[in-house]
Amino acid sequence: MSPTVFFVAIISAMLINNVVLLRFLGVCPFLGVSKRSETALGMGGAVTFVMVVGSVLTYLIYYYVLEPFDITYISTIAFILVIASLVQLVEMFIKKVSKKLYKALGIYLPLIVTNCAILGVAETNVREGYAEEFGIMSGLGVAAASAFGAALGFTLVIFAFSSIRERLDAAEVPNAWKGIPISLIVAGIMALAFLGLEGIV
Amino acid sequence: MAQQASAKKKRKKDLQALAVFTRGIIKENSLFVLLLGMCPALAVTSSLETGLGMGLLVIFVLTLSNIVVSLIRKVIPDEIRIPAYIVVIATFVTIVGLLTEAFAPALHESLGIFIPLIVVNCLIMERANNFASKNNVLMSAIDGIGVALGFMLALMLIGGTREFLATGAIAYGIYLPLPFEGSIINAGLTLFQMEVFIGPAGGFIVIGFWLAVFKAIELYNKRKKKEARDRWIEKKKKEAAERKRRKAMESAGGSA
Amino acid sequence: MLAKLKMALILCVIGAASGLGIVAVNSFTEDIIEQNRMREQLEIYFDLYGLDMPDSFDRDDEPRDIYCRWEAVGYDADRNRIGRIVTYCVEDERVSERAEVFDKDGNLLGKVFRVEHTNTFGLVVTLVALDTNNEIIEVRIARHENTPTYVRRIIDNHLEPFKGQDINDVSFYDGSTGATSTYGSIIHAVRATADNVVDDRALSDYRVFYPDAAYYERVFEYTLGCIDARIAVYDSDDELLGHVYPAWRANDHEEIALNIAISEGTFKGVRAARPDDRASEELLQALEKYEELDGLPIDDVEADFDETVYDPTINHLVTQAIIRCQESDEQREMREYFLWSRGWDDLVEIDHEILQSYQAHYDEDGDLLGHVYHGEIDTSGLSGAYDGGILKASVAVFADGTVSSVHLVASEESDFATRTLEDNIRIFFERSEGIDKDGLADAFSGSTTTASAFNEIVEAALDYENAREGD
Repeated sequence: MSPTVFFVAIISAMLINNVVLLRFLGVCPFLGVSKRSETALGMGGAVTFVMVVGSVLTYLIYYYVLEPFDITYISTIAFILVIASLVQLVEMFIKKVSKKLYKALGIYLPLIVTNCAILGVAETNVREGYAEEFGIMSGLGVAAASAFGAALGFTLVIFAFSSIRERLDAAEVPNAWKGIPISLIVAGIMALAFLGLEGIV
Repeated sequence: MAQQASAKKKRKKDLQALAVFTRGIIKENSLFVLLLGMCPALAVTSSLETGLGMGLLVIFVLTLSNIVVSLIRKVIPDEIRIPAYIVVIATFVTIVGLLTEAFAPALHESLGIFIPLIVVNCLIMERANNFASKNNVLMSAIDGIGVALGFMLALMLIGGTREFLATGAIAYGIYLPLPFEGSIINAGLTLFQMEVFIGPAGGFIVIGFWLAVFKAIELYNKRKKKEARDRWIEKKKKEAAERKRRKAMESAGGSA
Repeated sequence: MLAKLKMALILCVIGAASGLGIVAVNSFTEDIIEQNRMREQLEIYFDLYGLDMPDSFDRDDEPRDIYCRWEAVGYDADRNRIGRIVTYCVEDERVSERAEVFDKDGNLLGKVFRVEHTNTFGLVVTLVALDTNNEIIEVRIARHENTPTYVRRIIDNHLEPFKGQDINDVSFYDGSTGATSTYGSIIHAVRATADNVVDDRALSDYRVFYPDAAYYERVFEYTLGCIDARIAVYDSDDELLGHVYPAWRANDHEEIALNIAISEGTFKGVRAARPDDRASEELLQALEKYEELDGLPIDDVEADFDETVYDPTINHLVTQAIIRCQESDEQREMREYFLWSRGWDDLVEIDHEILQSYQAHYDEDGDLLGHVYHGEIDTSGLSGAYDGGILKASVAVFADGTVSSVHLVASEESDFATRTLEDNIRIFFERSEGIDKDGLADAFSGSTTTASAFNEIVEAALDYENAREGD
């Protein structure tokens, strides 16, 4: 298997199937958090970490626990528990190891549990059947790569959006459209732009 | 006497239940007012029927999870509240997922990944945490149905709009075993065949539009209320001034 | 401490209750979901050709023909055969598989091409069903992720005109208003079908050995051993060009599927059979060395093998193919009982309720392999009023009391029921090699009266062999 597979997986998850704009995952933090560029980057960092580790863990659990015992139908409940405990562990770990990092990321971690992008990407990884296509171990690499790409896409979009919103706050908008409504229109236009990337890979 | 009192109490309770029910539909509509559950609202509303289907699933999950959370609210220690709720919600989501796959496979296919994602729909967690954990079973059930119904109506509104703009028809799908065949409205207007509204961009734009419309209505009502209040204050002021003047005149007359 | 214990206990109780709930719902929905999946995958083929809806299916995902992907037989409530679907790989990547549909008497009804195409809005799975004259019976959307409204419109208005058209000369609907992405996928599917109507994956592989090959025929199916069949390849003048022996074996790394061609004492070559393009780099490299052998007389080929230069697994398969091409009809027949059979005694008649005769088989060194038992049974007495006539079968039992192979010799049942029985036997006993008396009961649960009759013969043979051991 050539390394291009990983590269393609990253690019495709980041731009062509952008989690927020084209797959509608993680819209809540996208609308709620991204008012300032720094916050957006902090959130992006936290999501990237949890998404990649969470995807790897859920993938392993799916193929080494759920599938051998033929209980894949409980994947949802297993995945959400794994992600929730992972977030808890990461929070405790960061708190112990680095106060600075905890200050930067800590406040976003609890929000991540309810970020559907994490669970969504974990579910997509097993649904896409990477393991069937590339074998379980190589599939794990592809799954991790596409989780990483998805997280990058998430970060890219919330960062770009926060920059737009900083400008938007200064713009003159009719009262009814102020805040979320105009943000959604902007997001719609961004989605149109991303639609133009279709067919690259 | 006692009977009358209890009847009165009962009526009051009914009223309260009704308020809990309607509040979730209009005044505190989860999607348009509280902005909860945005992801499914964007992803599964390409037609009226998918919106309706998702809404039904949410009604099922939210009502049952509210009931169970309310039932166990007294035995759950505070520290493990959240994980316990997650398990309860995830259970019902799994169950509803299995049932849909068995009885409405087309719907299951079209909602796809968004069925398991009901678990992380903030709406359900929010109701479990803020309402069901503090109220009795009946109220929690009523609240669950009301809130989820509001969510479903919002999804149907968005889905219907998108479907109509994109295809010129409404409910022309094949997902749910609906009692009626074909379309409710099939204008067949080629004018309205704008495919962009089925796509991702259309979702954002249509929700943005409806949010603006509801906000405009709210602003209008607020202004009306303010105007009425202003008028009332003005009137009171005038009356007070009048009274003062009359009093002054009276006293002046009296002294004259 | 107590509080913590209580917390853990409560979480456990909630977890257990949730698990119980999910398992209960799952056990209730499992069958329905499975049925839905079956319906989508199999019943749709029956529906396309107007056959009755089957009550149950037997599906074989590893048919002996390596160009087959899977095959399935549908039965009605009384387990009478309704029809059969066999799907093949297609060389063209656009077509995911080609299915051939047969009715209950085994007549070919037509071919169905399954095309999966992803357009801007998602996947569209189209089935194009043709009759034996290559006329379109129906174009059907099996599954899609497109906007339901558009798809519904296409289904309502634009699929009907395809019916009855010749696949090589299809006229499409080209009104600009109806030209949606979904219809684009359907045009794609019909064109892909037209390009592959005459394509045959197996034939194009056989043409590597015999460039003039026009058609082929499976002469024998070998039930035992790593060689699957003998396939005769003919040119367009019905002239026999030679034979191909498809061979299959799994080694430590992969499943090796090869085609070995031998024509009138000449070794024509050995190549990877490419059904899923599964051949690994290592296998292809190993096979390259064998290209030097092409065109040599088979005796020289055997002499040429050197374990250090060539691959031992491929050597083994080629040797087996050479043995297969040289053996006489009688040898072939006997080796269907025991793969390693090199010599045999005459039939010995015996006095037994079910068994009539047996025959001892010996290997190369003259050691006893086991016995073949020929038996017959009257099915009428077996279960109530059922009368399936006389059933004859042969069973080969190793000296250690395990089954080597089983064969249905004759049945007085109608053709219809016999075929069903053959299906049963194939399914229950095809991989029966190595089954002993205990394993037999497991392999056999839940089948029909005729098959139980068959089972009686197998059991009698096993008993007889075991009794002989005690002598």
